[in-house]
Amino acid sequence: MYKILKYPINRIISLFENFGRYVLLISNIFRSYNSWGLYINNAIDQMILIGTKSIPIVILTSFFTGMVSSVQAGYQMESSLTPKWIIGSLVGETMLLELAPVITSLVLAGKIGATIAAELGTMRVTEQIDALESLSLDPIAYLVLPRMLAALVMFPVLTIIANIFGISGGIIAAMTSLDLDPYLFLKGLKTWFKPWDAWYGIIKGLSFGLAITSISCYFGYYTKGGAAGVGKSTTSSVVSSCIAIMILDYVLASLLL
Amino acid sequence: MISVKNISKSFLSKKILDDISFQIKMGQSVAIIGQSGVGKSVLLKHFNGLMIPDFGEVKINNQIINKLSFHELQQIRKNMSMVFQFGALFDSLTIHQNILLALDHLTNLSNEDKKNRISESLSEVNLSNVEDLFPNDLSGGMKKRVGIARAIAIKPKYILYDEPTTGLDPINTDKMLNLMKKVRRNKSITSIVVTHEMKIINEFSNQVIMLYDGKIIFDGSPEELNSSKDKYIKYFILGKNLD
Repeated sequence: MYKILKYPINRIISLFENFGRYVLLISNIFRSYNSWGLYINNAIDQMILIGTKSIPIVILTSFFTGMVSSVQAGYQMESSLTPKWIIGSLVGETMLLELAPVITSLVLAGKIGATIAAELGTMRVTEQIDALESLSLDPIAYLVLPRMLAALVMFPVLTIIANIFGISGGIIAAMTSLDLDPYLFLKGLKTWFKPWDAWYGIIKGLSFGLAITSISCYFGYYTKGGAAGVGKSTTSSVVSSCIAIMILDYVLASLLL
Repeated sequence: MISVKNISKSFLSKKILDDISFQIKMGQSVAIIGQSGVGKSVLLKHFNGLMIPDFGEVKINNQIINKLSFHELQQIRKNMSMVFQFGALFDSLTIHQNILLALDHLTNLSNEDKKNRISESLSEVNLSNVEDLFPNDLSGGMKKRVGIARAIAIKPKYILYDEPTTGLDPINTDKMLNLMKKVRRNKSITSIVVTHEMKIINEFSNQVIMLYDGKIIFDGSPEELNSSKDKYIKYFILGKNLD
């Protein structure tokens, strides 16, 4: 009986341990607030890595997501009496409220999350983090703070880009596959549009971005072992980030809608 | 002075250091020796607070470092450099930036002085024209020498070497030994070196601490070590079992 229960009990204990260490890591960002100036310069490099270099993948995924949404909405309404311009509203609201922030974040959890965890993990196993500490630098402020700041700035921007290209994809698919006039698509988009919906999507993107970055930093920072440890941390960071996105998605929908 | 008093350290259920005590006087060159996995590097990392003992205390100049706050510990580290086993250079920074990072944070030198200090440190380890290269462009031995250059650039009072000759051929081992002697001579600093290399023990250190099974089994001079009648110590020195 003990053997059967041992694995789930250990997993639960490990979950709480991880959560406690995660909270400590994030709170330790603030222990060197008086020397943040030294570390903030690195945030620009991280903004390029997290933001600028992610724009192509964000455009690609959001554009095709918008196109698929449009085609599927058209398929659902094929035999109904609902006017076709409703597709504009459906695609627009779906993109702004859900697909743009969620799909973008899931893709970036793989791209950015894996990069951060592997980079920090490698630094840990090659003693570079110990070297930072031995040089009297604060490794948490040096490594985690710039990445968190970059995520804070760039994820909302990437969400806006995803909104624009997702809706554009929807318009193009509506034109080419459903024979819908773009003017009618935009009419549908405007009919039920509320500015809050766009803000809500941006807040979601921001929250997901901070979750991805902090979780990836956590797994990378506390990597143990050699190459296998780095691989494990990378996988854990991507899986945990995706789970966090799904949980946050529900929490934010309950709180903000 | 460094004073280690009754420290113990365990990882999961395995006890690595078991109630260890010793002292290191200023200006000494100490070799910490023992078989692989015996806890030498773990012990070394207790001196600059990279690891905290489960029990006991490590005192540097009468300050118990395992009870200091993060910021107090940072002040201690300003006088204590560490040379890591494989250099631990920052991959994303050039050699110049690797050394500059330490100087930027730990000194108030002008930009010109920092530049001079970097050139001076690199020439001390016999490296030139590498400032704009990245760590991946260097050989293992060169990385270790840059690691020493980074360590001495801040002019520390203590320098910790973690297996500085591991992976080096006999010629480079000799060069590394001479470099360590040069650093000690020029800077008159306290050196603590974790090593398996008898050449370093005999030619560099004036105090040897030997670990076995979590305990200190020898603390004395290299001469005393070499004349020891203990079977295990003899096995370690000669590399063959005399039984």
